[in-house]
Amino acid sequence: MKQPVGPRWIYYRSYIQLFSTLLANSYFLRGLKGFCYPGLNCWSCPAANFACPIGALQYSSITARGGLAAGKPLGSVLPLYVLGTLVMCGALLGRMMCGWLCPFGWLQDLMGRLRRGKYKLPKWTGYIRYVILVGAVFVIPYYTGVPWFTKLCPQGALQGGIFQPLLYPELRAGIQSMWYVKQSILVVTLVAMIFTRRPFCIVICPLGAIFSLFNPWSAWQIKYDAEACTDCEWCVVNCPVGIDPRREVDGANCISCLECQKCPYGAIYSQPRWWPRRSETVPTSPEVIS
Amino acid sequence: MRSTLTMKFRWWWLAAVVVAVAMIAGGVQAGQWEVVKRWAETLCTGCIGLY
Repeated sequence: MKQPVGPRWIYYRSYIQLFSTLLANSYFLRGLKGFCYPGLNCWSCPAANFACPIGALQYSSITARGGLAAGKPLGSVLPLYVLGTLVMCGALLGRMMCGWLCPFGWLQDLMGRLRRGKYKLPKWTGYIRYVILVGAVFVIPYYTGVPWFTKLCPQGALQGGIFQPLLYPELRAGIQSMWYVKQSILVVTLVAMIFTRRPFCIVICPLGAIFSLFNPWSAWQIKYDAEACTDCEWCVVNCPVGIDPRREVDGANCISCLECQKCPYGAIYSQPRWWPRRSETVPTSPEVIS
Repeated sequence: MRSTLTMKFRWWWLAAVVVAVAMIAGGVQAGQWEVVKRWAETLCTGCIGLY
């Protein structure tokens, strides 16, 4: 069988994920905590440098209700800065942040290496994250005043729920049933990472749900060359989210990790959207072919 | 749908980036950077799972 090919830089993804996790949690850039990191990284981690965009959206929903009740115009209560940051990242790179920058995504990749065989999630589970985005991030916080996704988020349980009580003993007095519920969700999520591919990204993640809206038309595009493809299914076997890149490349579940671009036959490639497709650049005039 | 709506016009992303820049500028000017920073610096008991 032919060996994987593709540009050299796509082989550094694990290192970039490691660097991203360290960058987001290195403690020394805490002056930038107003910046929303385009990945799921808990702002309650003692070493976190940046804000969590999903947390910020929930608190925006909560404060929006008070603002509207006080007679403020709709435009002044919208979280323009947070949404603008997410739109900017999504429009340029689609869901690439999930595959290259998200610390929780990296954890899922690492846990996934513990077991080779993986169960495939039903396709309908991919719609749950949109329900969670609308319900737990916008609607329920708006009406109840409680950031419910934050209360159940396994990344918060890992980064905040474990390290904060470890570092600050006075917080341990506040540990009640909710903490155990949250840690149980984390354990279930960690186990699911071993048996299926990127379960949190596909089923739960509201940030992934936002970025997946941009995948089909983002500036960076993944292309499939059907003429070069031999249907060896190398890409299907190696896809970290378990999709069929031949049919679903740039679909909502694709995290643009570019693992499929290592295709031994070069049938999958990525490039800026404004570059012509490979088929458009193939010489067709007889004199050139001869 | 992708082929008809998104593939024919290759510059949707650029329009979105322009809108995003305007949103970020508007949000920062309205003080939202400071608000988000304050939220991020406050200990989030929900994130930790306390109470």
